[in-house]
Amino acid sequence: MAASVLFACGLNEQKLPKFVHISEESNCDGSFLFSCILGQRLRISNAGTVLVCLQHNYQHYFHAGMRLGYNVNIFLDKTLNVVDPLTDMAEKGMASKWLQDERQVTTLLLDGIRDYISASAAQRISTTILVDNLAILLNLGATKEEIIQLCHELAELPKQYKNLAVITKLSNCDLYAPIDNCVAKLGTLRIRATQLKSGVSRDVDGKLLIERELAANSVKEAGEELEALQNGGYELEQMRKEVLYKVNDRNIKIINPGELGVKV
Amino acid sequence: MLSNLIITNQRFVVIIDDTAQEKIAHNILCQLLREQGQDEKSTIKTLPFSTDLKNWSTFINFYKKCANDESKCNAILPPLADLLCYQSVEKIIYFVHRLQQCEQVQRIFLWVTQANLVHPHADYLVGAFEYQADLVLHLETSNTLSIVTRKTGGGVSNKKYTYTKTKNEFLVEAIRNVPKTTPAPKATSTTTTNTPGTTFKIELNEDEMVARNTLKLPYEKTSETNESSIIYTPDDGDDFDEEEEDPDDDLCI
Repeated sequence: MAASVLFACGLNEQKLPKFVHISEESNCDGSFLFSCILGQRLRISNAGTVLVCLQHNYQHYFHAGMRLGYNVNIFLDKTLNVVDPLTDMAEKGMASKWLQDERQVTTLLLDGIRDYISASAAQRISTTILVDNLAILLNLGATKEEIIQLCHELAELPKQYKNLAVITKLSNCDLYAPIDNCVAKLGTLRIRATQLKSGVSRDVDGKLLIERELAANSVKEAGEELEALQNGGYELEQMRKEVLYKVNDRNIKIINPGELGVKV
Repeated sequence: MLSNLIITNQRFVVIIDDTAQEKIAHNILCQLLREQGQDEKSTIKTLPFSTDLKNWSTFINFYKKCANDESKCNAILPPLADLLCYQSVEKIIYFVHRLQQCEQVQRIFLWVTQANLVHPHADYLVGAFEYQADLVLHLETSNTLSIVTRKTGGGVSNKKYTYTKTKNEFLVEAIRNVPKTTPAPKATSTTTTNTPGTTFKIELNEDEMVARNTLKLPYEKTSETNESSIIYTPDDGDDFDEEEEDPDDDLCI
């Protein structure tokens, strides 16, 4: 269903890069990537997942999962923990803790994630934190600085817990470009979901630009990875890849550039 | 090598990066310093990026660490974009100023990537640090950079270079100065891209542009004259009226 897109992005392995950032351009929805990653993580036995629903609520991921061939309800409160501010706000209205103090939004979010991690990370073979669209925090009153601070804190978590990975997503319109750049530099893998420059196509929804650091990719041990990053000289060695994607009803199709065309 | 141009007597060095190299900023600066014989254990002091930057005491401790050091040190600050997430502009400028005043700090390095600044007045902010700096290295494109140096006597030099870099080398080559009589080539002309499908070269590089501008074509005037004059050489057969009377006076019209 979604194996090809995960393989193209290098997210099909059991051990993920420590920090992955997904940037999506205006009018381009990268949510399908989140559903694919979520399904892949849930299928791994005893792998914990913390899903932070900011753009879509839990019900969206349930329905998306059913289409992609997995049922998140089976894993809920077992290997899957959910932080869902949207549902909380809808249920409690103005009494919701997320609407009490704008300055506390990112702190509440971080505390919620930490609670789940500290309770279960030691029992899991790996843990993945998935934070859906960070730009929604701006709508909840957080400042740009607070969002970046939150990401800095999230990027610190893999240093405290073994086999922990953080995956974030952010809409990258012009207003959010500096936040997007600041968050992306925390990680070793950046995926950009962009539109086709040539216009709208019936066969292709958009393209994924994948930038992966080679040093971090080749070195497996955490200590060596840090050393490799420190030893790097003037040049940042990156692997860049570009693939086209088409989101179908029940799967995602990956196409290499130039593969589609008029066939006589 | 770039390090020969950057590691000089100038104390506050600001690197303005338009090429998105901030991620390896610290590596680049350490490598430049190592090329000039500085040592990471003794003469290179780094204020590490961490969430501790939210505490002002982290900055004070770093200042004390530099000031109490026996030998003069090079202070590498975190990128400005990271500093701005935790501290106000006033405090950052104050901190840099304090480091500049510290005798034990030989050089201060600050990496600025404008595309990463979340400050609403990022342009002014970059200008403020450029004003404060003794040396500004501007990484303009993936192969050109400029260096503005403010000397202690008040002189300022602005030089442009082309560069090539590998993992271990950062080589620069000065771009030949453009003669003053010719207009400077427009930036847009140098960034033109190859037109796909053409079999010959259409665009000009910088040297060709300068050569074209300095060339005087045969039909162009070689010297400017402000007023015209008639040059007349008298001939023996000329019949001038010496009394300067009206030559038509004898006519009855």
